[in-house]
Amino acid sequence: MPWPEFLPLFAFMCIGMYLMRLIPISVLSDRELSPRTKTLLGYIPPACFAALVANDLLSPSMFLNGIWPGLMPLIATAVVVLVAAKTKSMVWCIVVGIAMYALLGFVPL
Amino acid sequence: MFDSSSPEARGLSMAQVKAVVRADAAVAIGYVIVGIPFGMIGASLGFEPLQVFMLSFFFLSGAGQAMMQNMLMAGFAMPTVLASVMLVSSRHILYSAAMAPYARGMRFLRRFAFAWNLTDEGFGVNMDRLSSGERWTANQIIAVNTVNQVLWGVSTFAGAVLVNFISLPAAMASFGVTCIFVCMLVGQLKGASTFLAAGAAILGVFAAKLAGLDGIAVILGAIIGVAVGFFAGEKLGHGGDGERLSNGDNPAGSSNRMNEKDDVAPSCATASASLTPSTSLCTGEEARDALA
Repeated sequence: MPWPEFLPLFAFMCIGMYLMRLIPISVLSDRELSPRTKTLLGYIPPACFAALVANDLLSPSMFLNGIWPGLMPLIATAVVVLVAAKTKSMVWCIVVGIAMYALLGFVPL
Repeated sequence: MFDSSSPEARGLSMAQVKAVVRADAAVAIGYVIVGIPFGMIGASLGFEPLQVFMLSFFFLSGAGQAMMQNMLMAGFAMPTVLASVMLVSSRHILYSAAMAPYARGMRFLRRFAFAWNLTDEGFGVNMDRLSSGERWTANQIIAVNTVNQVLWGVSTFAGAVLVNFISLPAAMASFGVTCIFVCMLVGQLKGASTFLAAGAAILGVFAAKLAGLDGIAVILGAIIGVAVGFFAGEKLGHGGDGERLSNGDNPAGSSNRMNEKDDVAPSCATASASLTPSTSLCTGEEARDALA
């Protein structure tokens, strides 16, 4: 990525992250987030990860080039879900997922 | 248990160093194992090795980095990318809030050192030690976080360099990032409300794309998912694990937890994240206990 694009992005991301890491520890030494706030924040990871997966895999035009090219990533993802549930290992998920994706690419459909 | 006897003390004794190594070994090895392919993926998606290192060392969140890389390569506008990354990184507010009691009596720079490199896994390891009977000092907390930070930066940099020798096609690299998110997502799914949150997010993204709102589909889907999960949880009276919540329970925790009890391979979640996840990587039980 070109450095003139990367540096502002990097700076904003780091500033935002440091604020999130530093403000609570500075402000909340004597106070706590409300239980409902903590519960709400807890739903952010599953919702965000699901949104990201959906964004990568789903689109109205996903079957434009044929049924198989649209189905291929979904099948590979289904396998990754099983691997994730079974092993809880990110390394295995990456290895198996990429391998499945490559293998399915060779299927002549 | 936390040793608060000397919040401004400097250095570590040999015994304290050994305790840090014992506590963090599995996570540290996991960071290297995950970091190398993670760095390879980042480089395959167009980031230079130094850029990968800077993100890993200073931003220090596998989930946020993966999200940023993926969304940029997909052509999302910068403000959308930043907002999405900040949203998924907001779990660090919980970690920081949980660590706040242990930072009492510290000066600002020391608090900075205490919190600036907080990660899902580091939070998990430190909370595990703090809840055990073993004495755990502020310096040990900082040491755990710093070791993880250095290893993540170095291993992702190594991966980004390695890609010059082992090529990874962009489509596969992009799918590799999707696999990371799938792993983190599966680790988050505990109980009806988190399933509903994920399902609503997926539908929200698809609906947004149908409506031509591709640019904000991720954020919109995520917000819808959070809202549905939260209100479903309140209706059901449950958290993410299906158990009835007491005050302060975290339904999913953080992403991407290293399961140091079972093996050295990084686990994708427990109660979230990390990197963690994970980035990541932290556990739900520990996050809940710490936040209760």
